[in-house]
Amino acid sequence: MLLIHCPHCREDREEEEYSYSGEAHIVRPLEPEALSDQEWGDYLFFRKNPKGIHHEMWYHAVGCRRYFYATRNTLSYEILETYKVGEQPQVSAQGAAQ
Amino acid sequence: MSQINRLNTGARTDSTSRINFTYNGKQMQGVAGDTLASALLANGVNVVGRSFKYSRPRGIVGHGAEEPNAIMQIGSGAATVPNLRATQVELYEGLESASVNGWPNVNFDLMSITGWFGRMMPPGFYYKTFMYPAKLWMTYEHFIRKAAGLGSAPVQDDPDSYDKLNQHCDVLVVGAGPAGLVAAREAARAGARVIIADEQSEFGGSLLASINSIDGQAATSWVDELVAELESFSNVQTLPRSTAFGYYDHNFLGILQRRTDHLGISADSGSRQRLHRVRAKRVILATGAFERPLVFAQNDIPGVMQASSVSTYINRYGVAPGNRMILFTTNDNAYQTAIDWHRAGRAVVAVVDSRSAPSGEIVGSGTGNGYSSNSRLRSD
Amino acid sequence: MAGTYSLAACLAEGASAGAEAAKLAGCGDGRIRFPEPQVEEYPEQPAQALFLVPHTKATSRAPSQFVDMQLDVSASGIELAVREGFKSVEHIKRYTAMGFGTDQGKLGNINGMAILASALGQSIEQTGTTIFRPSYSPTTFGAIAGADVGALFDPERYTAVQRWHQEQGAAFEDVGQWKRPWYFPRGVESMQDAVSRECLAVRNSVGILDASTLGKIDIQGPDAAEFITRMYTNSYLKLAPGKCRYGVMLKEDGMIFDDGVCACIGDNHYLMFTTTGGAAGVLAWLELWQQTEWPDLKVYFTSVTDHWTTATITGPNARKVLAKVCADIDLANDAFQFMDWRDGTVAGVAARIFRISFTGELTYEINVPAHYGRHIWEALIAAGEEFDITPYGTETMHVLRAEKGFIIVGQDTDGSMTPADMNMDWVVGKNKTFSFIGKRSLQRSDSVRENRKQLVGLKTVDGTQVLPEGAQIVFDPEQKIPMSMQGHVTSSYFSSNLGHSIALAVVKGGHGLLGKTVYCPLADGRSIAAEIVSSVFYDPKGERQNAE
Repeated sequence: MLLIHCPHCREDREEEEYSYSGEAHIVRPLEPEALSDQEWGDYLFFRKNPKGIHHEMWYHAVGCRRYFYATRNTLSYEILETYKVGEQPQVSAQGAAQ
Repeated sequence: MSQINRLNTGARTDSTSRINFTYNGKQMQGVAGDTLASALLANGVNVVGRSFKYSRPRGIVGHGAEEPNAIMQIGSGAATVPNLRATQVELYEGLESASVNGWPNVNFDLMSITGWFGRMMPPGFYYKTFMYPAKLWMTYEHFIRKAAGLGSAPVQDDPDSYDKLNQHCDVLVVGAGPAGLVAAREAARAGARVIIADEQSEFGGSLLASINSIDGQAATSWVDELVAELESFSNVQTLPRSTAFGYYDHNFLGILQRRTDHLGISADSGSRQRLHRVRAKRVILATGAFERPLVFAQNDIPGVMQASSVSTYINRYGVAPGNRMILFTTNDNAYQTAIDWHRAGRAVVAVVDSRSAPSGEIVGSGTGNGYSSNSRLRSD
Repeated sequence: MAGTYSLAACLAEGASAGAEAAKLAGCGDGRIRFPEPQVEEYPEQPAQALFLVPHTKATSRAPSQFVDMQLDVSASGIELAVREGFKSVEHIKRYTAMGFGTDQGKLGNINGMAILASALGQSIEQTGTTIFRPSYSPTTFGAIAGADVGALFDPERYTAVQRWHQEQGAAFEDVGQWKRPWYFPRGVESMQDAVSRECLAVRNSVGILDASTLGKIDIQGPDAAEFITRMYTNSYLKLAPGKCRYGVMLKEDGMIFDDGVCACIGDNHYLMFTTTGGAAGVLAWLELWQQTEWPDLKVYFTSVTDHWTTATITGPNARKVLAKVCADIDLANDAFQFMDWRDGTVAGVAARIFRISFTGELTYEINVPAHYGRHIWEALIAAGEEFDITPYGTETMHVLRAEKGFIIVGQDTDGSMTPADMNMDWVVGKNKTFSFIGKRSLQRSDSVRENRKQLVGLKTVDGTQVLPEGAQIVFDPEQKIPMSMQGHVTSSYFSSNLGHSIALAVVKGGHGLLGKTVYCPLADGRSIAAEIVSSVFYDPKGERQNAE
């Protein structure tokens, strides 16, 4: 069971307070109608599944009810950082590889 | 049956006490401090089960969680518990135990017929043989399950209650042997909130069966003093009979504390077992090691036992599991078992050392104990 | 856990580990405080790494050399597995069953892996170990369950009227964590009899339902209307205070996710009703889009599900009942129309009354602060006595809505249904400027293909037979198994108002198959024949809910 730091509550809380909400930093197209089925399908269905560094979204469901982002190593389950929506990660797969 | 293998030298048993229990319906006696395994050995029980596939007779080989053979059904009725290792079951008055393998019983086992066809049951046998025709799988499965044995789950509602405790600590020490005990003491002295858990009934680990001395006193009394010292710290929580069974993400550990199992199966004293869900800042694994067994032809016949287990039965429980011993070793450490066996008044027939020229100090020490280097066999 | 064997070294290592761990946890400076215990022991010579004692015969010919005692895995078995082509230690484990026992190979595995390494002609390191998984030793289910059994297994949620329901002898149904009255048997009445009586009472006079469990989300902020309009398929930009609108919410893939009524309470203030089971999910969904995609929209959400008791009175006599306990609202049909809501006082308690309907009858949903729940309920029961007001439960609610062809999200939909599939194109705003959630997906090739499963009604040829929910639908019951399945039954009841059974179903291309006879093969070999009909069985013009 993970121990997750909520950047809004500024506390380490148990995983069971949160729910996972998928990959982070997926931006909704501004003009969906202008997209082909394939382009819309890419936005809708296709997600990264990296072995290693992954930026993902969590929801502090039974806490502050805020969404935030986490950089997690999918191999070790280590959470390298959590940050608020609108912020950029400090740790990236490229950075970690160097 | 009498306790033909009982010694009065067990450091952690009281050989003057008497505890009645049954094994496969037979009345037996053990003493306070016994495990079911040590009591069975004291009573001269050599065969405790049948093996899974070939139904070969098997005896006790270990003295703790590593035991592969002595798998027991404890108690009866609603509170019965299957698949406990006899080496970890503390003896209590009225304990009922039964082997889980063996049909119709461990000494006369119809299934051992499969052993005659051993060469026809290679690995993957089930996959290869029972796959087709698929229609017959239900029949095969029935046979395989019956053959597999391994205990029966209770059919009534569990009469016992259980609880959980969520805990946080600075330092969690898993294992209360010599390393774990001193680690906990140092961490506690530094002001850390410490939890120390050990699966055995009392702290001390290997020292409970050690004849070494520490700081000029017997190892067991050194343990007693250190445990008392630990318990005097307000920031230390000691959890005996507590198995850290899983080390999960981010230093989250599950610890199963058996609170009343040693008092009898239907002891009415709160929750029977408690699950500690511990989030620790730091974890020290001081779990100790298992002796690695030797793989040799016919190494499964009842009577073959781990050297450290032999010493543990003699020194801790006061049981010499047999009369005449051949010691087979790859290291110096096992020579202590020959010394222990000899001191128990039993015969060391031979020491077989796989090394070409064992030269440790302890190797020579046996000479004055009635077995000489002449009786040592060489494999080279 | 460091491979240290001598007692003195173990003690030294333990002490430094303890001090270091404390320091890393923020306690002390890592210095060892206690003197090192003094031990007398023999110095040890190196051990020999002997994983398989050689035999005069080859391993395969020698008597069994057991590696795993519990599962009878021998050295020759491991070598045979290698000869048969297995290389990975994890595969060898599964093929030979090495380490499969309750002891998880605590004694045998290391030897087994070394024997495997030798058979593969590689090092133990290259061979690797199998992954050990918890539990280290068998752990009782009882301990894992702990005290979370029986009544403590899961929290139960009750409405403020729960005690009254119990006193009336209601049978209860679990809806999520809620306990909802299922039906209210009188005496020794069977469930079917009770439900029939309740259904007739609503259509012929008046019934009362505890609808408090419906999810309620209070939405406020200057951009509330814009936000809500982006989430629903229809528009709320012009919804005036005092008005309600039914909406369907889609996921971005265009599939129906929740539905309910949303009311405009005032400027910048809305109240959204969700399904009972969907309440938490909808709230998280709203938060997701506001927080991550449109933080510029000023809008705030508060769950108020538990804050309100909702007593729904429905039936031709509903207005007469309400009039007896509510004097400060003009209940005339023109003044308080269908899909309006009004503030008022009911039995002395400030209330919000919504004239919306899930039964198709004249209906008022009376909302009061939850702690007045039982008071208002008993006042309505007393006022309705002369009309034989009948409390009804979820089963009757289901039957009545099915008679009207109203869907239940999650029962008649399964996450793969678009509004068009449900014959609900009318709820999708065609002229919305913003591309609401899910809109683009409604044009995906898969969403517009023919032969999608579509909502229809089913009327069994023998009206006494009730189709089992979940039954598969085929066109030809005589075909060979496996049959070509064309859809399935989603809702099915006996309608005492209509005198025959009714069912809702989704059938491939169903909207074009009205009048066709289909079959539901049952497990016992029988098939039930049914005709595809409109999903609206009762009052197809919807006149009753607008009743004068």
